[in-house]
Amino acid sequence: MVTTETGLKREILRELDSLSMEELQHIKAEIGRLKGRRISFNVQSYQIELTKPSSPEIGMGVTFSLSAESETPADPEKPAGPLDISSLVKAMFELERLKEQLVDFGAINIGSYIKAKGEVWKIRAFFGDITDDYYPKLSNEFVELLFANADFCFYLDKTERYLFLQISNDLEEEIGKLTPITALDALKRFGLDVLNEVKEKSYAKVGQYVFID
Amino acid sequence: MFSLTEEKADKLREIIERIGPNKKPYEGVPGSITTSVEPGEDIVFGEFIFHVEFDTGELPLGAVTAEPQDILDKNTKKIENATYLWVIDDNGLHIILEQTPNPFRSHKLYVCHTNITGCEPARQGGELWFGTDGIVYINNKSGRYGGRHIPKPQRQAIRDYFEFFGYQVVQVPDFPPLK
Repeated sequence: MVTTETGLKREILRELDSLSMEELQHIKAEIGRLKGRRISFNVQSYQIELTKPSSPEIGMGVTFSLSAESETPADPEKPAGPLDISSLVKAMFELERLKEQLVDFGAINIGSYIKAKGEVWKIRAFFGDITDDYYPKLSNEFVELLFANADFCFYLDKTERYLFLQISNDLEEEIGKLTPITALDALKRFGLDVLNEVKEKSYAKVGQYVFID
Repeated sequence: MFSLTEEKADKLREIIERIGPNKKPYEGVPGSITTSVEPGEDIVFGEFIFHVEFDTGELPLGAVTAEPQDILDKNTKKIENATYLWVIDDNGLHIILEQTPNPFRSHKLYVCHTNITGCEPARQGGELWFGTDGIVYINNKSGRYGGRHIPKPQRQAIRDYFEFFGYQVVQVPDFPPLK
């Protein structure tokens, strides 16, 4: 669990986590644009705490203290207002650094499709060139974006019991008409493990037999 | 060493022709799905591979067998320890017990089809069980070499190939028959 000390800082983190990949790209572009210029920050410091009871070897609680030098200290009397891009840039840097640290500890789950660095192969098996270092980026949103843009699909039999990656007339003659299902739909319905089984074994059973009187 | 009669050699060539050409692992997968394999999947597990001799119908030493009904029912719990992988390439028919440990594979515990070939091209692959009734039960479940979508004549050619090696072979039905 990740918590922050102040509402503003919590808001920044929430904002960052809710950003789409495109928005993150935009911020990265902003970093280049702002490079060498004086940047003012709304954030003085924030602290993030996490606990990971399942890993006794690293202790029940680990605290990271992060700080950002402030040239324009936040006025406690002043409402926080909308976040400016420079705050986001700085916060994003620190969040990314923090996430990498946490990921090294295996302390946070980035998404439900990829739950650990050691599972990145499940994505690489389809899209190649995705090293384990991509793990911090492999949020559910990112994984779904990859599958949404995939140039392949899967096929379901009419009883929706079998999922295939490749079909043929002979196969359809044997099992009946197969219906294409987009890679994204297949991902959402059956999950990455099943899709990998389909690639590994050429098909997978995805449903149970249904007997109708 | 062994030699085939001219007649048998012709027969073998004809069967191989029907099985189809060698293909690289995952060759033919749709779209831009990667065809590369994970670390440890390209290592040849030489001493664990059983290279079948022509016309012998021989089983690997200490072959694990399974009850035919369990195989046909796909009773996973009962047959998973007895599942073998088979590959046909230019050097013949090769078999390995699927649960042969592969410590070099980062994400799976056991070997895969490319641990037979070292990622070299092969004609077809699948799974296999040695039945307690002496029959060899096969399917075409290999994403790397071939797959379940291959045409019927190709599947028949594979069965013919197994028979050429001296096995009595049965294709395991993958799906319930259409009503």
